[in-house]
Amino acid sequence: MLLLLNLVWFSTLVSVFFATLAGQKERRLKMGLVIWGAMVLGSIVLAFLMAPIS
Amino acid sequence: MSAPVKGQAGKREPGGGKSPVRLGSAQIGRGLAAAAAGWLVPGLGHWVVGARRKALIFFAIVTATITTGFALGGNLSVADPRTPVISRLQVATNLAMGPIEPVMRKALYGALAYRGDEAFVPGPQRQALERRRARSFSTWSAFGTTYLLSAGLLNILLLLDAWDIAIGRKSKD
Repeated sequence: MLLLLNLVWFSTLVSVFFATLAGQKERRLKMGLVIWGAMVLGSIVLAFLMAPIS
Repeated sequence: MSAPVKGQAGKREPGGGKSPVRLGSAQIGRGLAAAAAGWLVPGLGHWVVGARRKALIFFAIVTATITTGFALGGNLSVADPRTPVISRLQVATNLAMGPIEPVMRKALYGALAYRGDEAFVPGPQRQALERRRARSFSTWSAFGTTYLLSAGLLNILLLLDAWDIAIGRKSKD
């Protein structure tokens, strides 16, 4: 559970950072959501792909 | 190609390319001041150049990242002779957090230990390395270390951004 919380928290920090840093004023929210979604989904997909076969 | 224009760093030309960068000394001074301020306190560089809302957001993000890393038992890096390049880059990344880094290092380990080769460091530094190793055994220590490294990397991007705004290459909005 704490692992997922870390994933969400870290993705939030990084996406808000880059949306503020690089996003144009009117597209900041959309850019932040795209980065956040890509980080969370990408991490989950990678976790499934790299999980050892039991 | 037009001649270099002083004071218009990186402005777009009609053809789509950028004019050669040639900065005036006042611009360089402003840029360095903003970057130095940003190193002293995360976000202060943006505050100095007038991007105050951004400055507050950046301060909050970098501070939250450092606090999370600290709370999770993260470690600050030391120069390890087994991996000289990568470990020195990690130390530099930690130092990019600003003066808070040596303060944290002293508070966590009791000494400013930057060298990881235990055979060659004096007593207090060796104790510091032992404290560092003990901290690394906590469950979430690797996560905390990642947060601390990320905070340094984010602050490097902030310094570059503050520089760009200060020299007029980027708008502050």
